[in-house]
Amino acid sequence: MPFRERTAWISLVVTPLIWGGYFWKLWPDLRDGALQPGSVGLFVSTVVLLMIVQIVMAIVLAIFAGKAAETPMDEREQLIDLKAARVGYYLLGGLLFFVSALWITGASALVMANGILAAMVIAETLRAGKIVAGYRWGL
Amino acid sequence: MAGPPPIRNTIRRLRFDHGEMTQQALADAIGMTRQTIVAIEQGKYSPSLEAAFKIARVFGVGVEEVFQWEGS
Repeated sequence: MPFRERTAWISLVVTPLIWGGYFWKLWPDLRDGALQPGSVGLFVSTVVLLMIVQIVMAIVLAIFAGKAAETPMDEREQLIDLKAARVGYYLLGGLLFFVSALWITGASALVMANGILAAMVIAETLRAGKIVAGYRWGL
Repeated sequence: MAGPPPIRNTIRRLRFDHGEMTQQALADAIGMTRQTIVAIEQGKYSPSLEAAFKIARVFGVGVEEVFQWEGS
């Protein structure tokens, strides 16, 4: 499996898993529309956890990949990356439009902010999935 | 997803004719990954014109000897 496909697999698994845990814990606050005192550090701790997990996994992958980790992307890999980014950004745009529409319904700032965050998580997960699909089944 | 491009190639035979050159050796010679060479050989990816010329140069032949258009 190519080094960059493995990196995409990490994003595909880790991103929804960690952010899924965040939204699972935050759900009662979102439902009530107010942040509880115990939830204040949740966002920061989730970001830190995500960074640690991704950095550690990237280091482990790079050690095992050896020379492949240092090789620049070739044209096919760049195309896979660009196509995945396009799909991800289209989805992000659509989801942000949907989230902004929530403003009309009187959604709280907490819901709006986390709606934007959820849109980014979904778009990034799809982008990683599209990269994996590009490597697995072609462009 | 688009179907495979109507382009046939003779890279596998050319590799064989050049001392059974490995896919990795060809990849290194033109600055690509082995996986991309595999994708090109299997007709799953059409390389850029620049890459096509590079491949042809490695084998010392013309581009048309490496890639053939099969579409109508």
